[in-house]
Amino acid sequence: MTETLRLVVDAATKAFADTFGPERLREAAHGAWLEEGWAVLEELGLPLALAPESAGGFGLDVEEALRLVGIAASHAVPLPLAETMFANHLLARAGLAIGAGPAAVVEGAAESGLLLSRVGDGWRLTGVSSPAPWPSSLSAIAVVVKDGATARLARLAPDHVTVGEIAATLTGHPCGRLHVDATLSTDDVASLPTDLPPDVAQRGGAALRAIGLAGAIQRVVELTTGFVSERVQFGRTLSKFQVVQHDIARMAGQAAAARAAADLAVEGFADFDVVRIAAAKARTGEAAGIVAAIAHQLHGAIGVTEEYTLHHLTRQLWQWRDEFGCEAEWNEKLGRLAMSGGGAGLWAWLTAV
Amino acid sequence: MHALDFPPPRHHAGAETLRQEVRAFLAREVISRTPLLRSDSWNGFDADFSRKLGAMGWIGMTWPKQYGGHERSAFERYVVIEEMLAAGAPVAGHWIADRQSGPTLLKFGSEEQKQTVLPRIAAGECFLCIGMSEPNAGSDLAAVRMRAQPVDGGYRINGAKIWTTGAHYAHYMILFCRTSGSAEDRQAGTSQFLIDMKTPGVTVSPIIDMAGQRHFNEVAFEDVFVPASAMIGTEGNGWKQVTSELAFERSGPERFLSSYTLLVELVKSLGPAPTGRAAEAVGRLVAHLLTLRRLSRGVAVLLEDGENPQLQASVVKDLGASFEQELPEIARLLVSGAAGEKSTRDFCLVLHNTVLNAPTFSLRGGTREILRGIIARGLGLR
Repeated sequence: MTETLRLVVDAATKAFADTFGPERLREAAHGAWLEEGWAVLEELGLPLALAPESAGGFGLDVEEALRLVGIAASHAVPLPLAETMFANHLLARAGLAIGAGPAAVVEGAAESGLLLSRVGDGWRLTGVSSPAPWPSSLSAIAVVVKDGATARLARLAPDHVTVGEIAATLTGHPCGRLHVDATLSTDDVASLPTDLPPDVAQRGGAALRAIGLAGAIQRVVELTTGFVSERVQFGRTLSKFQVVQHDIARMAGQAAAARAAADLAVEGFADFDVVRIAAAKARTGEAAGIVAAIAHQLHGAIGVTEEYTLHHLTRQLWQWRDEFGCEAEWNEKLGRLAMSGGGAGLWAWLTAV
Repeated sequence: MHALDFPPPRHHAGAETLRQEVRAFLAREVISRTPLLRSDSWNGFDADFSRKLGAMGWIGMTWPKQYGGHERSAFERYVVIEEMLAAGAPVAGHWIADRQSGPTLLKFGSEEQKQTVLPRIAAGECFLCIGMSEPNAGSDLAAVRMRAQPVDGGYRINGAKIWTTGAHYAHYMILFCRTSGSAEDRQAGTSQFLIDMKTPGVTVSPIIDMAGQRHFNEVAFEDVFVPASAMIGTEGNGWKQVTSELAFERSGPERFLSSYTLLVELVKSLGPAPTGRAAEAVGRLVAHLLTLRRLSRGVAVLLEDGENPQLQASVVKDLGASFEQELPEIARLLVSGAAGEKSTRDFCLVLHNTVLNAPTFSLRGGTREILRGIIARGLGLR
C-alpha cells in the first residue's frame, strides 16, 4: 500500500465508522438523504478519488482508489459514493468538467431511451434514462448516449431533468429514472473516448458493485464470526458447535472467492474488460446470496432488526447483486465469450484472463 | 488484514514463455489420448511420459540443482502442472513425489536419502506413494496404530496401510507410523520412514474403485525390517512433518482442475450456438474457475515466499471440490443423447468417469469436514 493510499484509507475508514452508525443507516433506509454524511465524504475528497490529480483527485492509481469502494460498502455507507466516483472518472476521461456534489452515470432506459441531436452550436438531449440512485439529490448526471454510430458522454445539471417514478429497492434507498429535456452547450458533451465501450455505464456499474459486494461480504463474515464467538446458548458459545464452525468456514470460503472476483473487477476497470467484469459480478452476486443466508441463520432474530448493522449490510447485498446485471445475465454473457473458441480453445482463453 | 488473505498472483515473465514450451510438448505427447483417458487427469499413469517430462526438466523444478532439481520458481512449476492438468496428461507416476514427497525429503530427509532418491524423482524414474491412512485411521490420522519397533540396527514394522494411491507402481513409500506410545498418545510418538517397496514383507493388494479402476491399494507390512537410516527427520517428529507435507498436498490446482476434461467435452457438445440456459450454466462454471485459479495462484505466491499456505490451501480445496462435484451435475442436464450416439459418445464417457470419481473429490487429501475445521481454527473459532 502506498503512503497516500494508507492515509486516505485510514481517514476514510475512521470517517465511515464515526459517521454511519446504526441510527444514520436506519434513516437512510427510510429514504432520508444524509446531507451531513455527504459533507464528510466531500471534506475527505472521496468523490474525486477516481479522478486524475489535475481534476482534484488524490493521484491514486485507479486500482488503489477502488479500494475505497469496498471499504465504504463494508460500512454500508448509504450514499452514492461509488456512483459519484465513477461519474467523475468518466467525465474527466472525456474532458468534461467535474463539480462537487453527488453524481451518477446513466444511459438510455431500456425501452424508450435517450435521443441526442445537434441544435445550432449545441446539443439537445431528450428521453428517459436508466435508473439513477438518489435521483432528487444529484448535482450532476453523466449520460452515456449514442449519437448515430458515435457514443458520447453528456453532463447534465439537476434542472435538465425531472425525476420519474421512484422504484422499489431492497435497501430502501430511492432510485428512479430521469426524464430528460435538455439543451446543452458543446462544453457539456464530448465523444466517449474510443478506449471505452458504449456499454460503459453497465460495465462500470457492475465492476463497482462487484467490488462493493466483496467488501460488504467480508464485513458480514466478520460480524457473524464475532457474534457466534460471544453468543452463549446451551452453556457454551455458538462458535463451539461444529455445525456453526462449518457454516462460518463456508462463509469464509465464499468471502475469499468474492475478494478474488472483486480483484478481477479492479483489474478490468481501467479498460472495462467485459470478461473480468462479467466473472466478477456473477461470482460476487452468487457469494452474496449464500453469505447473507448463513449470516442471518447464525445471528438468529437479532440479525433482522434495523438497529443492527447486519440488517443494512444484507439488504445492500441483495440490492446490489441485482443491479447492473444479475448473475444470470453476466454468466450468460461470460459463457458465450468463453465458448466462442470451442472446447479446444477454452484453456488458452481462460489462461489469458 | 485478515487471516484468510490471498496475495494477488505475481507476474513472472519466464512463466509465460515456459507455458508455450509446455503446450508445444503436450501437443506432441498427449495428442493421441482419448477424452476418456484425459479425464483420468492426475490418476492417469504412464511411466514413459513421466520420464519424458523429467528429461524436459519439469519434475522437481523448484529443487536445488545438487539434488537433480532446476531451481526454478513456484510460478514456473505452477504453469507446468496446470498445463498438464488442462491437457489431461498422464502424470500419476511422478505426481505425488513431485508435489509432496520430494519437498518432504528436501526439508527433513538425510543427505543420503536426498542424494539417493531426489535426482531419480526429478528424472521421472522414481515414483513414490504415501502411507498415511489405516483401516482405523482415516481423517483421524493421529489414531494410527501401525508401529515401527526399534530393534538392533533399525526398526521392525508391522501393520497395514490402506487407500494408498499408486503403491503398485511406486518404488518408495513415505510411511507415517508410530515409533513409541500407543494410539491413545495421538500425535506424540509418530515418525516418518522412507521405505523401499521391494523390502521383504511388504505386500501390495489392489482396491478397485467406483470407476472400476485400480488407484488405491492396501499395503501390508509383516515383520518388515528397515535400517535406522530409513527414518526421515527426527523420531517422534512425525506429526509436525506430516502436517507440513499436507499443506503441499492440498495447495495445488489439481484441487479444482481434475475434472476439467468434462468442461471441455461439455463445451464441444454444446457447439457454437448454445442456448441461453447452456451459456449461463457454462458461464457460471467459468466464473468459478477464473476465481479459483486466481486464489490458487495466490497460494503459489505464498509457497514461493516460503510461507505456510495451509489455511488458504484449505479454502481453495474446499471450494474446488464443491466446484468439481457440481460440474458433472450441471453438465448432465445440458446435453441430451446417449452414450451410444457418435456425437455425444466422448461426452458421455467423460461424464460417467467424472460422476464415478466425484465422491472422492471431497475426501482425498483431506475431507471437506477436516478442511472446514482447519478454516474455523484459522478464524479463531477452535
